[in-house]
Amino acid sequence: MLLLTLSCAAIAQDNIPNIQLKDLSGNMIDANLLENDGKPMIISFWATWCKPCVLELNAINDQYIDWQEESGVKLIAVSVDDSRNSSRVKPFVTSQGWDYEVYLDENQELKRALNVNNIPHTFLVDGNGEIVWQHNGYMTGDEDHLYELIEKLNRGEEISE
Amino acid sequence: MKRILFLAFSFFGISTFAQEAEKDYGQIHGNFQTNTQYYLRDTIIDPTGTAFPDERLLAAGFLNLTYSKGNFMAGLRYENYQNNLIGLPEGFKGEGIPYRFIRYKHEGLDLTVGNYYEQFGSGLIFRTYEERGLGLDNAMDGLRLIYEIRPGLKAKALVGRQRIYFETGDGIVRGGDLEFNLNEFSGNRSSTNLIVGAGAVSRFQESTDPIYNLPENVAAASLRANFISGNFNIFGEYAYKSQDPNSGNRFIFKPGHAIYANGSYSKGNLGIILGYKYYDNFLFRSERVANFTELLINYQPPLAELHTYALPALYSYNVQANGETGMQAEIAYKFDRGTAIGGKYGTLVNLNYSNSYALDKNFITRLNFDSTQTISGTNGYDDWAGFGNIQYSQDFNVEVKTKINKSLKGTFSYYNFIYNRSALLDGVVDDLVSDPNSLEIVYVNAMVAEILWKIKPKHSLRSEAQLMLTDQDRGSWALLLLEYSIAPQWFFAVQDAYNYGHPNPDLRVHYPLVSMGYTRGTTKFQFNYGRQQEGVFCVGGICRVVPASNGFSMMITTNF
Repeated sequence: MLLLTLSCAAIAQDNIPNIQLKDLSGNMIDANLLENDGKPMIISFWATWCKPCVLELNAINDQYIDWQEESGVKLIAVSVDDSRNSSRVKPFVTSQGWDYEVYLDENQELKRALNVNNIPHTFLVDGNGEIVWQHNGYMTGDEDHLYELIEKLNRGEEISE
Repeated sequence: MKRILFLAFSFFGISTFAQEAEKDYGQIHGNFQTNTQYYLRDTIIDPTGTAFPDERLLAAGFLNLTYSKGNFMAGLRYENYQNNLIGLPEGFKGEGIPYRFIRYKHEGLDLTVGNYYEQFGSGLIFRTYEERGLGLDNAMDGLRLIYEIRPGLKAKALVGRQRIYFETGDGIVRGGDLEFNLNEFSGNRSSTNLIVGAGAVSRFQESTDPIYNLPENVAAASLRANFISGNFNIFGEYAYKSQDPNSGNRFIFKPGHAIYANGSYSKGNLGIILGYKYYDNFLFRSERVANFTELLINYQPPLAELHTYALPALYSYNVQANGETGMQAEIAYKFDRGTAIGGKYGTLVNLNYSNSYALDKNFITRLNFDSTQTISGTNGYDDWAGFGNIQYSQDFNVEVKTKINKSLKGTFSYYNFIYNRSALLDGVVDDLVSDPNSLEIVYVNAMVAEILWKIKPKHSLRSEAQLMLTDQDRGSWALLLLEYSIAPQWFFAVQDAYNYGHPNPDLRVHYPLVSMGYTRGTTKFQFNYGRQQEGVFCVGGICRVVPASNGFSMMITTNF
């Protein structure tokens, strides 16, 4: 039975679960309602204390204007900082100069619902709100690969990794 | 539990067959992780063999499965410890399914049956969560109802018992929380918002104590407010706990108080944060007698920066369970490119200061049976004690982040710590200290330079040079790390930590470590071989001591 269920997961639609996130002004939003006008979306799980996460978001930020212009992609940065650090998120994001949409997942509910083990963890969501790719960890240069996939999506090609 | 599992799986099964008729048969996702370590006997770092396990090889792993379809969600986690790795709680032994739940959400109603993680406000009175790296999992097992009475007004109610290893604790935990969100209430998503909340939690545990008349029901309640206006954000929470004599506070009958507050300002390139905490006798567990991270009902936010570079992290601060007070201040500023400090690409400077002190307790003692004085059974000390004369920690650090040229990025940091080793590591509690000067204080100065060199597309070299100077404890350390990565699949790293300043010349040893990792799709393999220094591993202000070890370790993690 287990194998049967697992095998059907391969062809199941992969949507973002219906879990509430908080924006930096305290407004609540259902994660399944996140969207980008039919264009691709990156969802990146990070925390202020996570060095590879910050490295990744800075690397993407360096090219973000070009990415947005060329592909219309939007990055959603979901912070899993707990109440120790969640008050640091807004000043942190501001001083880094990030132009991302930032949300708080304070008790890691969305992180758990998406089965994220360790951060950084990045999801690529297509224009229909389906998760088409995910990646754990960050190495310098990963952002180039991610952008190749975004271009692929925009050309209407299938992502099969 | 077996029956619930069977039901859950039959449900999966039915939904699978149902897909023949209609297309949406739900989704199944999960993750898997395993850590294995083969230990080598190393008589230099562990002369007596206390950290060398009888098993030689230890392995731990878990698998999470989540099923979701429309408003319905169900999940379970299988865990396996044969046996748990050295440094993690030994209570995790064997195998089982300690986590399973069914959740239903529909039009403002959110109902969970089984295990769940939940938090009220900043967690001062209630937070259940898991930190796998610490072996912390205090998940509730029971019922939870979240109901949106109307937009902007949310109520939570829960009841259950908490997980302890493969069992649940004796104490029954029940709680409720109400939160008002002005923007949601008025339907106006502006950048000015007021969120106000109130919660209460109570624990019941039977008392059969022959000496004390222990309260069986212990309650905690809190009030919180968060005001956000444009660039400003102010948060404050006050919490009170009724008499809760327990092994952590040495059975005193004093009520507890906690205050956690912070304010921040962020505009343009500038970020400023100020924080204050006052935790007095606020450790709250669902059983009176428990150790370490077991059965914690609440969370006391540490309010200090979390350091992740290996050497500064050796002196990580953690919250003192029987009370403390302190503050934090932080300024971050990004110097624009083209300015003197900003250089060609801009420079980010971050200053952080935090401290923590014991409370100034005027102890109330009584004569014990063995004719010594004890605080057990008394009110302990006066309410609202101020700053005491025992300092637990002080942390001042500066971080400068800059891009040197197109392919070079650098992060340079400096740390200055005052670290009360007796309290933070050896667990000496303040009511047993007669002379504060007898405590072992470690004064630390440390520097880290991290350089990232992007050699060519997808190839990069990251290096860390760390130096930590101290005359106390284990003396000074130096560390060098080189990590070569080929994105998106490979990395190779070598590291050597050298404890050159150890007061005992026999322990001035090197800790070399080589590691490599390979990623394929969402699966990641990592192998390490070498010596690991004794250290303190912390997440969210809770720390555990990891003994020195030597050996070969492997980690596999995957998501689907």
